Amino acid sequence: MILEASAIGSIALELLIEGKKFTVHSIFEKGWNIIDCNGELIFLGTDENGTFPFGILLDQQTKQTVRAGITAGDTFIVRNHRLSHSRFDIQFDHAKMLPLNMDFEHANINKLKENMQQISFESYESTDFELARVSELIHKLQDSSENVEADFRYFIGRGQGLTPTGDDILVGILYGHFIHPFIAPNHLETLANLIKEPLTTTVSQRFLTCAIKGLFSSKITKLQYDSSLESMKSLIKVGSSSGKDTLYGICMTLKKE
Amino acid sequence: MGYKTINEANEAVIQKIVAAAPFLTDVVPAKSVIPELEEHVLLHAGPPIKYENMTDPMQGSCVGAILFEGWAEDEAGARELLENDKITFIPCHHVNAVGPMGGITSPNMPVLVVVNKETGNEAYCQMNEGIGAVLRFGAYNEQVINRLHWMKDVLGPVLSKALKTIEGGLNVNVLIAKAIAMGDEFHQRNIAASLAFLKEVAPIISALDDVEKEQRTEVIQFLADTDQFFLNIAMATGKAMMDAAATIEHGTVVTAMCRNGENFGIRIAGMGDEWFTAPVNTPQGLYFTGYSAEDANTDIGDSAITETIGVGGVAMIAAPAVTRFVGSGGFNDALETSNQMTEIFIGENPNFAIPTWDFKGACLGIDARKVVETGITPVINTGIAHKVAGFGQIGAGTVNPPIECFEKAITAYAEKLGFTE
Amino acid sequence: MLYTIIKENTYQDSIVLMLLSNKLSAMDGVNKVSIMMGTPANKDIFKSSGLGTDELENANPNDIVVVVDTDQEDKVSEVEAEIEAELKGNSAAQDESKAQEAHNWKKAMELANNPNLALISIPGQYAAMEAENALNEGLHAFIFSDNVSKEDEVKLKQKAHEKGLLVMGPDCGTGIIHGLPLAFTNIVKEGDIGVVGASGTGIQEVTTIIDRYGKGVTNAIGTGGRDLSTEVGAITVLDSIKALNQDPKVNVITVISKPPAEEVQQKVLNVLRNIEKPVVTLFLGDKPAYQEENIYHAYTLEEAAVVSVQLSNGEKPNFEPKIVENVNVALKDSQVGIKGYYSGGTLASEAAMLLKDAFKDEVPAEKKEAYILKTKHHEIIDLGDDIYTQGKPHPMIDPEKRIEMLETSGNDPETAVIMIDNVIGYGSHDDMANELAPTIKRVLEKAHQDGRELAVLATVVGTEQDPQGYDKQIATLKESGAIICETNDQMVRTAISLVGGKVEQPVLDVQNFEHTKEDLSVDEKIMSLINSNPSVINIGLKSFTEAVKESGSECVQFNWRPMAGGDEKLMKVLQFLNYYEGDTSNGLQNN
Repeated sequence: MILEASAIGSIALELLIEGKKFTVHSIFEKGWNIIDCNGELIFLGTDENGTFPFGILLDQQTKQTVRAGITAGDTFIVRNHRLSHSRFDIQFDHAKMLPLNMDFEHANINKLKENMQQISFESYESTDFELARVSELIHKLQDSSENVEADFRYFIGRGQGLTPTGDDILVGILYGHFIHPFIAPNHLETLANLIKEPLTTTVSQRFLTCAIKGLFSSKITKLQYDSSLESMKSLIKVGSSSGKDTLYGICMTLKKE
Repeated sequence: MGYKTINEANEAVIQKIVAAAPFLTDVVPAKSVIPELEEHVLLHAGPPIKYENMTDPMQGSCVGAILFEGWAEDEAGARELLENDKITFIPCHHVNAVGPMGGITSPNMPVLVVVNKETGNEAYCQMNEGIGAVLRFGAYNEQVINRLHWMKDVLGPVLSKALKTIEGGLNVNVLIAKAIAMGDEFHQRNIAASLAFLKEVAPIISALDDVEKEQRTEVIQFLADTDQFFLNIAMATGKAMMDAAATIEHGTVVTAMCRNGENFGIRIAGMGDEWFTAPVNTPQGLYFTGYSAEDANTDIGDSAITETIGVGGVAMIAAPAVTRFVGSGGFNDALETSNQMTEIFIGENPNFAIPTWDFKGACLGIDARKVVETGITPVINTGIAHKVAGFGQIGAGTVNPPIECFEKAITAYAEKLGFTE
Repeated sequence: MLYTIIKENTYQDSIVLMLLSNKLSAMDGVNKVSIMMGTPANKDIFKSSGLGTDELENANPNDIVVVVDTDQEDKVSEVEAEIEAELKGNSAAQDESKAQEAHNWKKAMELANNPNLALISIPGQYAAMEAENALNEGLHAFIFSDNVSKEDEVKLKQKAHEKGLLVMGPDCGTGIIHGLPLAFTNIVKEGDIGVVGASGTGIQEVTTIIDRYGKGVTNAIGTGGRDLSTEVGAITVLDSIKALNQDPKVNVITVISKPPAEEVQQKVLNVLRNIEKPVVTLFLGDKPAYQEENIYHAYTLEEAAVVSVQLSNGEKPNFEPKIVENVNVALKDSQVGIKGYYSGGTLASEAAMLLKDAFKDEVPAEKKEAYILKTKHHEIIDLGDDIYTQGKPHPMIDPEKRIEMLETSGNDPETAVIMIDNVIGYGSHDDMANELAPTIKRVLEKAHQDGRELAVLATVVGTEQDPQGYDKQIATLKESGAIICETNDQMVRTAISLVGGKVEQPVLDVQNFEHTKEDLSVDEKIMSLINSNPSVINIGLKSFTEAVKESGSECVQFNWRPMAGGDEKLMKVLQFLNYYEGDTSNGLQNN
């Protein structure tokens, strides 16, 4: 069956080299991940959780059709501009490119701050990521003379879920940095190096490597264009806690003096 | 360009099959597209065969074709030409064509033209004459010859006009995809595809101003009556697809299967035009009342091109309605047949998803190696001809190619690549 | 108690994990449970929340880790079932199809999960070809089949060595790979002794003795009996020794074989002399003439096992042969014969060796057919020999021939001692002791009626973990009146002493030898074979698949039938085409 991808992220497109083989890595309600031999990951699925630079966007129908017919470990091969599975061919040469949304200067920081007041992050007090701990990290990140490796190690890979809470908070902090830069370059480098270690899940690793480069899910970048409470709420709906964790990271970044 | 492994070569071949874009563009006199079809030349089904070795129905077809062409006044005259080697025979497959049953095609018979737009090659097949006394089963009475003339003078030109109004021609893959969802397997059952075809051309034919109303009605009536009309389109399509795939020239994918009543012949991509033949089997199946296996002609016709592209008997599961007709049991037997076929085919054709097979694509690319390895041969759905010319079809069933064809083919290919014992 | 469950490389929506967490917490008897991905940071969380376990260290960031705190051990399997069900979710239907069997290589490779080992037990004439196919697919091969030609064996092993793969066999009856028992094997505890053996029952005897001494063997690599021949040149033995040497979990290396060809023995010894780990060798049949600083040369199987255990315990090797004392049997002067009826070939050889040693004068120059040893008074027979198994099951499975032999020799007034072995474990008879016991009892009674006494000695090769149960087999045999000997060595020495003989244990000097430097590196694929749970494709006997699965490893059953209907030429054509590598244009140029 030949199916069409609706849109494709720039990183995913770079990875789709003719003849390259991908293996189905994990299957979720909203889509599935495939990885190549180097562990590079592409997400195929709907945009219910936003779109990603390493994503290939499919409509509901297409996602459902394919999802029902694949199992983890199946192979996809890039052939004639199609992702070929033994039962499906996903065409992407007509797919439109997903915008990178790297125009962070559009963000209305004051408005964001104002609206975030209405969201309570108190529940984090009783977790491993209490406000003081997150503030301290953000504080240290501004100062290039601080050593933050231990703090990063604490955050990376800690917490529930496929993208552990600590990672999601870091993604939030990084987004905060891109709309209003504050992290000393050496700390970004430290983080980039740490992520190469096996400290967290493959999926989470992918999100973090993108975030360091300023590439975020569309649910996050929406905040640049629409600082409303609605945008935030739709981010919160992502995953079981991922969205909220990310927003927490952003909020704490914006709150710093 | 060569390939590093047989698998890679085979992969290239099946990609070519999937990529094929067959369009039905025209109906023309055979001689206009097949220059070899000169005076006193006939095409026949299967690998090369001499007249004296042809079975009776095929010989009968020759007589009918000669009468149709007017090369002889009567049967005796026709037989004289044939028996004295005055007629040159060429296998359809050698001139981009395929022919059902006897496959006897003469210069003035109209042929369907299918263009594979991916590669630009064309393939031809004569049109289906309907059921009963028909030339392809060896009948050559006046009614048969008259129908052939009508097909030449009316059916062919009208369809040609109709098809030419469709820009680029009729996309056959679309018709196949539709009809597969309606329970056709394109060898034994073509009723849905034939209707889908009629649905496309009927409005056009009705609107052809320069054709007399009577003729338009005749044509539409004929198409409406001829359930198997699409078979011949499917055959030309298969030929157009497989000829393109054969240009890869490497590997062990079967690019043609056909029979002439004496021998079954196959080609594989890596051995180009060479035929690998072995004596044909006789079909097994159900017979119309009054006939039995004793009356059956041996396996004949180029229609096994449909199985070569993964439909027909191979896709039995697509057509539950005919599983009983061909005597292969019920739905589960059909399922088993198709599942078993996956062992000798390389992949699935995403263009032909079969709903009754959980949307798996039709089988793609027979690997001759796997046939030999497993001893499983492709299942071919087929009509059964009476062994005496003129009786026509007496049943339907399934038949398997002799495995020796595949054994010879892979051995020859291995030797070509340097294999020595 | 804390129990750790790791689901390797498993991914689920967070929501599934949370649902699962809720479900498990609500289970009766579960005090506490936590489910997280196995990242380093999360492992710290497990630890700080009192759920730290040693097993956690094995988890990777992409594994789902569950730690359960419960007082009821039986809850764990319930929890596991729950996890399994939840993780499978709606894909259960697809899993069913995964349990399919294959009948060709492609399907087998598709169905298998990262396979690395082919277990081959098809008729010998096809085994070499399928082993080659396995090597071409990048799999190690364990060839149970016999009747593979020596030339094929050489070809296969050379190819394997070049590819960094291991060929075990042909005619390899026994093997333990990373704790997984293959073919006819006992269930032996895992441990730090690594065994390489060119003899099946030899491996079984040594590994089971080690087990009963409380130590363990994680890898016992069978090599096939001809590996140490001049032609094969010990390819598999050498690769195996090197692998065990590289494996940090191995502390002692034990090598068992029949006496090899002289130059091959030197080659093997030279490699062993390059190794720093303590080594025990047994070239069964040769009486060692010297010891070496780091290589202990044993004389018998028990000695090899006992010394391996001592070395593993960090003790000095010290082997004292034992016999069963106080055997209460009154033999007449005319009763002088020892009769041994074996199902284990190597055990029979060991018996013959010890008897020859004890009764040197009696040993005839020529070997008599159908006997391992036949002297004026004594006889040792390997009932597993082809002569006895023609058209019959192996004596480890079929008691008939042994029953017959017991009866005949029991009736012989010259017979003093009858020895039998009972090899248990996977592949053997379900309860051989119970089959033999009535006959033993009857033979003893009959002798008694005839006014004689007889000693029937028996030894069981096995462990308590074996399905037949070591203790149960012993109890049954004891009950029948047999005298139980712990090892074959002890059984034979006891027999010899009963008829008034003795085997001297050699007392040897330590000698030093020059050795040439040897490259001890070994391919990563071999290391990974012995270091992780093998994923097996079983080609042939279906019972092997079940045994592998029972042991908790993955196995795909490949229902083999001869390719191309067994036509040899076509099979070769297919093999040529299937593994053709080059340019398919090559032939075309000639056209």
